[in-house]
Amino acid sequence: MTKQKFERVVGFFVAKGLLVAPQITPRPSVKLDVRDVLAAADEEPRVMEVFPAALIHFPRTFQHQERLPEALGEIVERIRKNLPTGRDYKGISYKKMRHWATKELRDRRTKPVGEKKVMRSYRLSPAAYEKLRAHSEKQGVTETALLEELIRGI
Amino acid sequence: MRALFLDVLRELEAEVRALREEQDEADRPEESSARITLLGQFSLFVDEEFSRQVPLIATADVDALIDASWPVRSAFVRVLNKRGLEYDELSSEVWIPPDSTFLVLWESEVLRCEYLSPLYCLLSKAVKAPEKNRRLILQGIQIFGDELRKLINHHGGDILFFTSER
Repeated sequence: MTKQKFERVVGFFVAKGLLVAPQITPRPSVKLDVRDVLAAADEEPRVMEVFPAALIHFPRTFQHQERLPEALGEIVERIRKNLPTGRDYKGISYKKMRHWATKELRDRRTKPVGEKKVMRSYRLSPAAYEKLRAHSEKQGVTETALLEELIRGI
Repeated sequence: MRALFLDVLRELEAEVRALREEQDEADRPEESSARITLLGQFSLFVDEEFSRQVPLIATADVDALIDASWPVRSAFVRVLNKRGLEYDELSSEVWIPPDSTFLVLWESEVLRCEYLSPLYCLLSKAVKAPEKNRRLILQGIQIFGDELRKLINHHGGDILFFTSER
């Protein structure tokens, strides 16, 4: 691949704190073709080590995700579910790939895997909901925060 | 990157000195001199000659052996974290080849930091993680030539993995 494309890929990972490369300009806002990332990873396997984390945290950055090899897609899904084991890929251990997804990144909009909130919807009786609403308002917290606090106390 | 690491060590030195002052005031036994040995990719980063010749890329984890008390160890981790780096707790698993040479990055009465020389760092990577480091080893062979080739073969590595066409 061209040096320009390679540096564009690596520059994104540098900007997000996933790679260190002093000679490459950070590129926080690029869109990357998955095929270019895979090609860059062939040249520099450390790109592959952090690619699953980047796919999970910054999915809109990566175009043509249908081009992701099936084995790698499965690994990404296992990491997303925070499963402790999975297959290694091209000499990179699953453990290492998962590690970067569980790390807190400098982009504070992201949350480490394992800390991402899980969406559920529950039906509450009107009386129960009124109680939840009134108490959360009284304490100055969201209803979700109050529920989490109550659950922690179990 | 060498400058960044010197900055890390400068800050760590200040923390170690502060710890020693505290111990002095509390009449506790003095902290012995701390020793850090950089391994892996960051040992290549801090070598001016090598990093000038080879553009390096690393993940943000630093491999290092730390021979120091727990407070100094924690300080090192904290100082790294401030710079977006983290300490690799599995650093002791890095293979240090026999007869490895080390170069001094920092030396004072309270803190000494050495790093694995580029030749032996490349040897370690070539033997223990060839797939991940193929490109880097190829560049290393261009610099170190037969010296590196012989070492790789001698320690059970496969030089053809790096030099054959793909």
